Amino acid sequence: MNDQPTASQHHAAPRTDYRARIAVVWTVVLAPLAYGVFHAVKAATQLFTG
Amino acid sequence: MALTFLDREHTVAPPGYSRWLIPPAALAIHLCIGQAYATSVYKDALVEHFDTSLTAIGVIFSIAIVMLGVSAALFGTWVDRVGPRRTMFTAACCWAAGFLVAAAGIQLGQLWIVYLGYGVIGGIGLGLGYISPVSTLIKWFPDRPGLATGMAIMGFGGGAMVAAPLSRELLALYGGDSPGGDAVAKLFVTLGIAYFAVMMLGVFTVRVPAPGWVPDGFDPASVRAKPMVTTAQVSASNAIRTPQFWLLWVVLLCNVTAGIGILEQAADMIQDFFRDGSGVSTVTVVVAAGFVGLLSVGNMGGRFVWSSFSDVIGRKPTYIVYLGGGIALYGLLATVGSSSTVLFVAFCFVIISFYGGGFATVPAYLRDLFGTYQVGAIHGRLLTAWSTAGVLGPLIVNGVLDAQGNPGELGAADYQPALLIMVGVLAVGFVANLLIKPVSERWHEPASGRTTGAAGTAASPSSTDPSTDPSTEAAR
Repeated sequence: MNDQPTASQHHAAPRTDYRARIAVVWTVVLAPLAYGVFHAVKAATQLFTG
Repeated sequence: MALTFLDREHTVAPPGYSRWLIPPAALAIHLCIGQAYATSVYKDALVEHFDTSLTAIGVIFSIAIVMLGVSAALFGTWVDRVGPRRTMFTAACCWAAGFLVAAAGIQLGQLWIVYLGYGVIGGIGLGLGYISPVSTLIKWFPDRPGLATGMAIMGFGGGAMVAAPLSRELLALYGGDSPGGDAVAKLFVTLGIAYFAVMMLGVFTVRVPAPGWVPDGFDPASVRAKPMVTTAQVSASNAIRTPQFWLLWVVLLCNVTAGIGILEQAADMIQDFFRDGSGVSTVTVVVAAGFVGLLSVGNMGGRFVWSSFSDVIGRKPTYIVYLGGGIALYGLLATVGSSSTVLFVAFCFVIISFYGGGFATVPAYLRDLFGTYQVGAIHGRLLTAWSTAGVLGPLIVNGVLDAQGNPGELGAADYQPALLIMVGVLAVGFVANLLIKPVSERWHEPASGRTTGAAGTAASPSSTDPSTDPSTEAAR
């Protein structure tokens, strides 16, 4: 494995900062998921209050 | 070739690309195709629009699920060859086109066009979309494959949770209090366009790791040290000749069959389990709906939690928990389930979390047994167990309940035979899982002079295009 480049070895090259992009794409998928979970949990609470 | 940006060589990640961009790319696909489990929202409107039976409308969903299994099995090798971006793009086109064609069918009053659109075309999108990100995630997360596939497949469970309330709101917007076929057609057009846009986020975000890439701090020797995890590679055509593939097929079949048994009947079951002396259920329709909501949370949560847990204790022990735990819980449900609503809900919640966990853990199990070379194609072939369970589970439960009495008049005791059959089904899966051993070396791909890396990492054949890599060709 010695001739295999690792993530650490890539550090030598200039690296793009992906933090903003990570935040955007996670938000895009987690926002609708949160909407779905909210409605499911709201329905589930009827189990205890209904 | 047109659309060359979709080619695998154009999707190789640049140095420093963050692997944490890959799970949301996969989630973007699975959240959209998970809509398939939210069809009940508009079922009644379609029955009225086409003036047909509930069964005829249910066929739309059945065709889609059958096409999911068929397309995943047939196109799995193509998926591994062309890479995730082209596959995701094709899945997005099929899924969106399925909605648009089905909308046209509704407007024209032709049910067969809806079968063709949502069922056949959309079903192909389902199959391609389901398997497209799995092998890519496994390569990006050789240290935590269960966590990675759990995140993606959790999206499939979450997709229905998003689509159900969203569809209800859109139907109310388009059709008011009593939405008809016209409102469903508009809903389909809206969903088709929206899902295409979200899936494109996945298409443009997904990358395959560069040959030789391994994550920081990952020691491939840690993988080699685990007895049930191979560092070799097995092709899809060889995998289906091994007993391990078919044992795992049985494991998935049994786990899904048992879970579907409860999911299908959830709302009716909780009402039937708790009846007073006069036969009236003490559980209201509203509470039953809450129970279904809780199960969907358990289904989605189990996919992520249990699959991640499998990275810690190993895949085989995890399935021992799913199947052994399922046997115990189904047994308790059959015997003492009617004694307390809290116990009943708790038992069902854990059973459904095992059901979801079984889906999410199986790609990592395949990776452990067969390596990453064609894990997408092998996963596709394994999903035929899901299609089979989709028929078998409801058949067992409905068949038994039909023999016990009429719907609305059943009690907890009437469910006992079906629940005990599920105990038997899970016992078969439990034994099948115990019989799984590492795959014999005779099925391994020759090393072809290349350095074999740890499962899912740098030097596995799948890190490059297996269709064009000459050393891989030579190995066949």
